[in-house]
Amino acid sequence: MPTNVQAGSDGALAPVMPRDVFYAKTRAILTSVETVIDGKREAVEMALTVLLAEGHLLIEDVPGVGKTMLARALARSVDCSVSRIQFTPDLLPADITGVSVYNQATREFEFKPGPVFANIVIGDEINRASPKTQSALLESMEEGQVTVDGRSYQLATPFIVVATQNPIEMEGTYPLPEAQRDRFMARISMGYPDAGAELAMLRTRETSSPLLAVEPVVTGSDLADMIATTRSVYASRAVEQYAVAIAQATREDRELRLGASPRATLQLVRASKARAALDGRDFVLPDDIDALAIPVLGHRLIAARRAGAGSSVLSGGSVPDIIARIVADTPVSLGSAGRA
Amino acid sequence: MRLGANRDQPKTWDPSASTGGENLASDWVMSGLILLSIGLAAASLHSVVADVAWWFVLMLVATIVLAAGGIVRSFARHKGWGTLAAFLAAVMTMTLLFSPQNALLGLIPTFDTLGTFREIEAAGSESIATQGIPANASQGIVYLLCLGVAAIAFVMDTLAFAARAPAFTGVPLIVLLLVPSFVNAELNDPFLFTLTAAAWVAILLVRSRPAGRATALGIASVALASALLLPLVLPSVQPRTASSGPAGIVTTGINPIVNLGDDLRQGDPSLALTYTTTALTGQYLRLTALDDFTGTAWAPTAIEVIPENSMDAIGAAPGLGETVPRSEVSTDIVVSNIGTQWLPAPYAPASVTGLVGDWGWEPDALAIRSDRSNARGQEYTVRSVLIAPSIEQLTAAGTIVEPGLERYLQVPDDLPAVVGATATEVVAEATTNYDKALALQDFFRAGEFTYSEQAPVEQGYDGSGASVLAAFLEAKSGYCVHFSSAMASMARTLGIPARVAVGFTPGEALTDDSGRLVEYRVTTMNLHAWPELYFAGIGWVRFEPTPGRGAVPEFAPQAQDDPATPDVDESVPIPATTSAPTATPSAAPSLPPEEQSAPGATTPGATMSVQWWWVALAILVALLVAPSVVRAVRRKRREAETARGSALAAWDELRDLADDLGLRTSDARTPRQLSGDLADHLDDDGQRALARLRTALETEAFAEQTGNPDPHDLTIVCRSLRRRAGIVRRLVAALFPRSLFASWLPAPSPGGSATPAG
Repeated sequence: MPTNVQAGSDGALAPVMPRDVFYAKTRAILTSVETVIDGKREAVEMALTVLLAEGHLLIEDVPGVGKTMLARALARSVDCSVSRIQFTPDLLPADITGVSVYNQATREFEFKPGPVFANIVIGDEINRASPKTQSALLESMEEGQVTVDGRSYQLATPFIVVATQNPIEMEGTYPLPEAQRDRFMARISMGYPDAGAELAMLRTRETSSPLLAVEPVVTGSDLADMIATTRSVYASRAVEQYAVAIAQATREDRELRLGASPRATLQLVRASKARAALDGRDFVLPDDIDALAIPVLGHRLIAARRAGAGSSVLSGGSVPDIIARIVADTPVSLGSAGRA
Repeated sequence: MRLGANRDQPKTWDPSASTGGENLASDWVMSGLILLSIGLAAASLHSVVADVAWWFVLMLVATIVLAAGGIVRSFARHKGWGTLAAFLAAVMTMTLLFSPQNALLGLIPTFDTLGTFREIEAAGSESIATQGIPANASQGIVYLLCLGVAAIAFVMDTLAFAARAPAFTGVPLIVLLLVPSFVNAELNDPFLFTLTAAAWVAILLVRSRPAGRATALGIASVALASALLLPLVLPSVQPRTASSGPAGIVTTGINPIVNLGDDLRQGDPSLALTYTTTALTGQYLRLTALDDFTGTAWAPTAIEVIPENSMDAIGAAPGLGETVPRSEVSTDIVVSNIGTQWLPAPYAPASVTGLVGDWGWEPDALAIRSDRSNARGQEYTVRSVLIAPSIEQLTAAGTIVEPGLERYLQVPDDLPAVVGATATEVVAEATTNYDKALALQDFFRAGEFTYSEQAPVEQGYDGSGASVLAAFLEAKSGYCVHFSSAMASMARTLGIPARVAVGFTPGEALTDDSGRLVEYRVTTMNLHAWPELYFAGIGWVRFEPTPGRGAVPEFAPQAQDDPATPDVDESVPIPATTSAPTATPSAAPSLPPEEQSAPGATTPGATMSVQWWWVALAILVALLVAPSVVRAVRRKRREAETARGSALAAWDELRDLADDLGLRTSDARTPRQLSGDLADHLDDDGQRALARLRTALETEAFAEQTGNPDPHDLTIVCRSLRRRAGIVRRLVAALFPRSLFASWLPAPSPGGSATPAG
């Protein structure tokens, strides 16, 4: 990914964090995570993008390619509260949200916060839990709070869920319903490492886990500042029009049964801001939208007929292919209308 | 609003969701505009076709074709069905209107229907060829017009909907508009031309994106203005006379007598040929002789042209005896405006020099014919033998019929008995063939017969057929075809070998100021037919039974005085023939005065005059120039805007130039993607300049700050792009700037936008 800082675009935005500091900190996180995940720069950047955009990330891939490793490395690089939930079929909603326990001493019910009360929540194999349990997490993701016994408890800010799941075809999985998939900002897959990376991994990780060596490189407040900086990235009218045009196109496309929701459009623009910021820009380009269209929209759309998500062998149009086509066909507004 | 409304609404399967109501409405608007433009263009035919009823028939046809396409399109998922429906509708409508009797259900054409169509088409072509302007809308003409309009409606429907190229609907419209120009450029109606063009522009506007509309208007107005103005500044190229035009007016088919009456009736003579001769009088010029009267009409025997035979030595005149007085005549002929495979030549030709092409002569009729060449425009010299048998020699021939001439005595079985009876009655007591022939000639020339080109048509006995002879003898009015075929038929019934020659009367002698003969002018009004009778020992001898036409041969003088004023149709005034070369009347063709005085005479019928080429050329030039002009104006404007600080203008210009040069651009490409695409087509300077322009554009468009583009960068990139493109592409870009037509042309397949990383 190009890392040149855009010249001559000194900003209208008032960054919470100076740009060079922001840039240095994002590089530090990337470097830190990459000590654990070899040769997966794109996946790592995408994860960081979602983190900065304050979205939730869904990592979907076959077991053993480093999903959890990525999530944990990212969490460890930031000095903030991290919790990890291993989803199993017998996991109960209360195991996530927390329970009210009767305190004999005070003779009152006392709320014991669950693992969801953390800045970064890692949900491992989220689709192995029952739908009831899944929805307990997903509702808290959307609302930013947990309600137990009629009382609401505010979650931490920033609150970011990094969930991993196995492909839905695998045994013992409960696929996430569309409405719940929609809550994740982006879905990425790791992919197998190439031969060189795999060989290097064999050498370095035979004995000790490199994860233990990962030290926090930014503080929690740094992260909050970085998120605020990301928010201040400027998305022009032209770029917004472009994002909307793509979303509209997904709704009208014949090969898609379900198009992008307005929430998807919102998150597409938000993620684009994070990508622009990572790239050193203070404004969004249509290229950001292009690059994020598949990760952000891919898990929300449903192909018509047999076209399954990601399986491009049997059908002419898998969802990513369809999105790529829509992106390639959607005219890029250059904003003459927006400025008028 | 749209966002909220669509929230969580699943994408439906219903295909109509994507081709919603507004699309369909604009389809109908488009169909309506096509109908309107066809109607306006068809109305411009009013200058060549009389009355208005035919216009409504044309509109009916066009409406049915377009409506069928539109209705089916509104149901069918694929636009191709609409095209198919329009085609079927066109075929069925034509069948229903013109040949329902032998079609299935009156709608579905059969082989018989096609036969009927061919007949109507032939009738229509002939009707066009024979009528003046404006022509009566005969069934044949209406058929041809309907066929044309049905085809145009179908083609326009296909272009507008199936091919998605509404701009090209202008082409069939131009064809329709140019029909009057085929006849004569002056018949163009600029008003209807403009209205049709306006309808076409409306077609463009309905379908083009808002961005393309200014272009549509610009190109259309430049093209229109040029097309309307250019003919005005090109008056000098119009021919002075129609006769100097390249197109022929008279054409002869296999049987030249068929169209003869029509050619005479055109009432608008054009120069057929000119000649000078060493003979003392003007010469009858023969095309051929019709010797076969076994069928329904006189016709030439299937002629065996002998290609090997030489035009230097044409065979001797059949039957010409040694003792017959003769003189050798040399005639220089310049054919101007008749298209025929028979060569006009005096009888009996001995040699022809100066011909271009392959020509051969036929030994019996001594007709000179070519299968591949044409007499039009030929200049040649004919040396011929002019025979002058004495009356004694003719009388001496008696009633002898030499063997081998039996076929010249055949008459059809259904020849009305009145022909033979009249012949017997006329010749009365004449004993020799010569006396009988003279009696027949006198019967026609001096009797109650009148010359009329119209009467046979009006009374329905036109032609040379056996059946019409009785009617002709009854009505006693007709023209050369009737007189010659009647006399030849009667001669045959009397046992005299006879045939009908077709050609030209000697024409008008032109003299210079001192009264010296310069040349003979032969027009289409000199077309003529006359009988040739065979006398033993002498051969074929010309007679002239047609009153008021041609010259009676000296050896066959008329018994009674020929009236001083030829007895021709009284409705047609006869101009005085001041310089007739012979003592015998050589009446000039009769012309209606108003047409005679028209110097830039209009060529009637389906013949083309030269002007329409200039109209077409003017339109072509205008169409060629218009895009470059519009493009140049646009480029200048953008350069000025760039200088004022608009990176967007610079980028638009750059993208359009790439488009013009045939590099695939798409407005779905982001500036960065496009820069990447173009980098391969730029040198290093160009790439750096492009990067600066791109930065300026991104700043302007997406950071919404001042981009401050350097106009010089635009120049560098454009120059670099052009240099790498090559001369051909630059030329195409200059003449046909693709960017102007982007909104009408099929969109280029996107060059695969960068696929985002997953």
